[in-house]
Amino acid sequence: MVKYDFTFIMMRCLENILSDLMSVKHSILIALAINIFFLLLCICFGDLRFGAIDDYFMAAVLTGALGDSYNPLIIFVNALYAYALLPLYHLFPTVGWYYLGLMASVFFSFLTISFILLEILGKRWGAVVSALFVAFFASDFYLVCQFTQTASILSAAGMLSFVWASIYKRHVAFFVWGSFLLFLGSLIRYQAFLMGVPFLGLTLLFFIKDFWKVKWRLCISLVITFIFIFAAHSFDQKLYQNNESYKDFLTFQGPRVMLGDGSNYDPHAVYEDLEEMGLSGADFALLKEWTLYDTEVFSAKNLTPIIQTIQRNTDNVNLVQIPNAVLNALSRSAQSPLFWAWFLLSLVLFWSQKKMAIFPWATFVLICLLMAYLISINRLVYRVESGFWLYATCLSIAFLRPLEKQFIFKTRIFNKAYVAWALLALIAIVNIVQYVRAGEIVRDPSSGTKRTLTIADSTDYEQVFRFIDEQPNTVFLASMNAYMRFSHHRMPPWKAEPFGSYKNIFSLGYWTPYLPEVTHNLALRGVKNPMKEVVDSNVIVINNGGLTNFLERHYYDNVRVDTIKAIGEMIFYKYSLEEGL
Amino acid sequence: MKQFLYPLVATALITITPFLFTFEKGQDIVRGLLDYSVFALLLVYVYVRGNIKKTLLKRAFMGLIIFLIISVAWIDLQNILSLQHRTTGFWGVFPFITTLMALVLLKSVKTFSISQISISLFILFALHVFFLPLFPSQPLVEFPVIKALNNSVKMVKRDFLPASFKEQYEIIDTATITSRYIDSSRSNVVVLVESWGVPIDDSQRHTLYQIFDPISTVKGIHSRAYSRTRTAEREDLLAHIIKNQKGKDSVFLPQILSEQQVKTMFFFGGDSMQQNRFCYIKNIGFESSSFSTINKNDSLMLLKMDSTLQENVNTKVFIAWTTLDTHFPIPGDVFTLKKIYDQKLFNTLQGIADLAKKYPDIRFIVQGDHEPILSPKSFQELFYKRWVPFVILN
Repeated sequence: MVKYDFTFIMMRCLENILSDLMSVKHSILIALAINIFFLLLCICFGDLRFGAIDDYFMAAVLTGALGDSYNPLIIFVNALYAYALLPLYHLFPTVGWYYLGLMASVFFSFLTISFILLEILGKRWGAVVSALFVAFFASDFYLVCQFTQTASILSAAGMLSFVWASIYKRHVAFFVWGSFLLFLGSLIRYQAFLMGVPFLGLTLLFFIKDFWKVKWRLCISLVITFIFIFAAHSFDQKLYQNNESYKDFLTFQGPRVMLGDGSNYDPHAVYEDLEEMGLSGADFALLKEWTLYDTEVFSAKNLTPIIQTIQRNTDNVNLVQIPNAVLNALSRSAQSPLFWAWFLLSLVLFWSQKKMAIFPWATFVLICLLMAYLISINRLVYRVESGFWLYATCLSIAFLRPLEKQFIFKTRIFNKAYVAWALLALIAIVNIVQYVRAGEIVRDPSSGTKRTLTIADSTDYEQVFRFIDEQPNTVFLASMNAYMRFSHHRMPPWKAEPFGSYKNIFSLGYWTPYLPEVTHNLALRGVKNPMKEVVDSNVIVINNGGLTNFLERHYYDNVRVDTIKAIGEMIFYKYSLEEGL
Repeated sequence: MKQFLYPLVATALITITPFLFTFEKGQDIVRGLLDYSVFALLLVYVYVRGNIKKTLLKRAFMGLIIFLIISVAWIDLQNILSLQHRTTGFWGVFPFITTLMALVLLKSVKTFSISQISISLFILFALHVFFLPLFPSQPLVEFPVIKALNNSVKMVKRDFLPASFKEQYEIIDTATITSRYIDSSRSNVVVLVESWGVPIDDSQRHTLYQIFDPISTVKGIHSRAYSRTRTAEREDLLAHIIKNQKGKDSVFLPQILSEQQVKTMFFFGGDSMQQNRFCYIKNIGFESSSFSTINKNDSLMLLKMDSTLQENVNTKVFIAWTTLDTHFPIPGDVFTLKKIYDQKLFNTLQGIADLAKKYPDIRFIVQGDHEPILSPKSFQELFYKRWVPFVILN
């Protein structure tokens, strides 16, 4: 009896879901068609790479390239994402699942947004608008695939799914799907998810009436999602804090971030202050160029006075100057397609939704406030700005209403199906031409300018890697720039970097110093302090021949440097002690 | 759509008129064509006029809006005048006249709906940011209040000396004071005063120079490429740079003077390890250098200088001394810090002046090594940047 009941309920549930699925079958199919079309365009004509080098090295840490086996602690992305990918890596070890995961996330986010557009606007005009939407952003998200953007689009799609399902009182499955996307977004980048929360809050305020009708469904799913998100985040943080081997790494992060990302201070004043304090200004110049892997001279403790000097010389933003700075940031936003997507959607809202016409202004004010806050703490950059516009755009979609009811669409020309077909064909043709012509040109995620992702470089990297791999016991200390360039030439993103492929390559800068596997691999080759021990017989430096002064200032009397090999732009230096002088 | 033309023209009238009338030849002021807030206020004005029925409320609203329009126009006018360094004067009537004309222009305009106002403001802003990168020298929209707020922060101009300084001081745009003023016919003492900057405040500057009044032959200010002691110690003693097989090599004054049988000495009241002096002082070519493992204050060093000069009355000497008392960091808040700094600096300078008075036959070249650095920004802003005082005594 009990058994029967259970099966019965399960059957009913399945039936329910299936019938719901049947009712949205068309929307799903159309959304799939549009998205597969653009994904194929990107795959066929684009240059498939990580948009940020951070992603490449996170994937490399995960696949054990820096160590000797899988390591799910990948620093900026939650370890849970890595843990989830581990079974796949064990099944198919050569596949770059990290990258495929991000690409799939973008795909499903776009799919969700297209689906909702189709559901709201009806099949005909929904198809045109979603095709436009995907056409606008496919290149930015697929071809500049990186974790911050992926997290934003996931969270935005998740929030939209939530809001839309509440307003239209849709099936609980859409709440679950929204929660899943939101959760995944927070895993991939917690801060990117946080950026969207004010926008979700604003939207909830606007639809408070609609939300009241589904308050339990909404509240429970929101609360559960947020609990999961915060639990996952603190779980990830604890993994590092409770791990003794990450202690050195963690203590070094504060100074590293300050030296690497801080740009709002007067470097000349810092230089002079340091000299006046009897510290070396030249050391500071090295640090600014990301040459920092010296565990003694540049230990976190020794960097403290330098960081304090930087803080003292930091430009403070005057409160009354913030409005002007916001205005400048807004005019810079006009470079970003997301701003115009938001603008066009807002115009549609103005014309079609007189009641909700205040929403565009509300998002505008919210963005201004967030920008003002970020400017006051000197943290406003292009990718953060475009994140704001993305959230504003995606959540505006929830305010759209069927276009057929609008005055303009009652006119004859818009009533015809072939108009929509013609528009779709036009979008398809324009995009095919565009991708075939210049598929590899993408928008830089940090500045918004158009460029190719790989730097043109005459170096024969195969020869470089052969030289390095032939000497597994030699420590190759690369300048950060060289190290980062390797990322474009070793493995394509869809393939996994094999175990230990970076076991004897180390960066003088970047965020990899002090990682436990890096320290371990150095120790295996007898090196404790990389910059001090460049004079050891088994250490070769790549693309940094200017360490002599540093070494003579802190450690040795006479240091000589010889070029032992040059392959294209990669130059191998050997430092040694000059004897008998 | 046509009815929007009137508010646009009225806004342009308020925005452009004061600009045209105050135009000066050669001015370079980047300005928008339409005051955004004026445009918004004019639209709201028309809305209030047509939609609010109660006369008292209506009048109060309209009065408030007119007042706001005049205020914005006034702020805008002040923005222009402050860029031209002019005072308001009779230009002050412009906001009133233009606002009045604008209101007359709007007399026959039919009322707008809230959504029309909202859309037009929205589009105007978008057009502005769209065209701004295309025509950066001619923005579409002007934001007078934001601009005024932004300009209200006065940047302290520390990089350039005022033109009037040329009449009071010898201004030299290099750091070649010693080679310029050294008197090879007699003994010379070069004093590098730690953290001696040129105060922006007039009376403070005068007080400092006054210390040397009876014996100074030149009072001047010269520039420095870097604000650091090491550069100051080296660059001022540089005679010339020679080229040889190795590349470039510097020849310093003490090297040349030693060859001419002048006794060259370097004094510093601190440890030779401080700022790596043991490395580079030797290279400058001093015959002897005197350091101290525990910091000696400047009055002790002055006694030492006195005895050294006494011992060498009959020999030609060249002495370089870097003072120490005013070395930063000095603890405390800006107020106490300034008090301590002023006191210490005065003592050191007075001591140098007294020593110079005692040896009228010896030339004294006294200069700052750099303006005070390594201190709170608000304190640093009391001094010109990269400029230091110098005095030539006897």
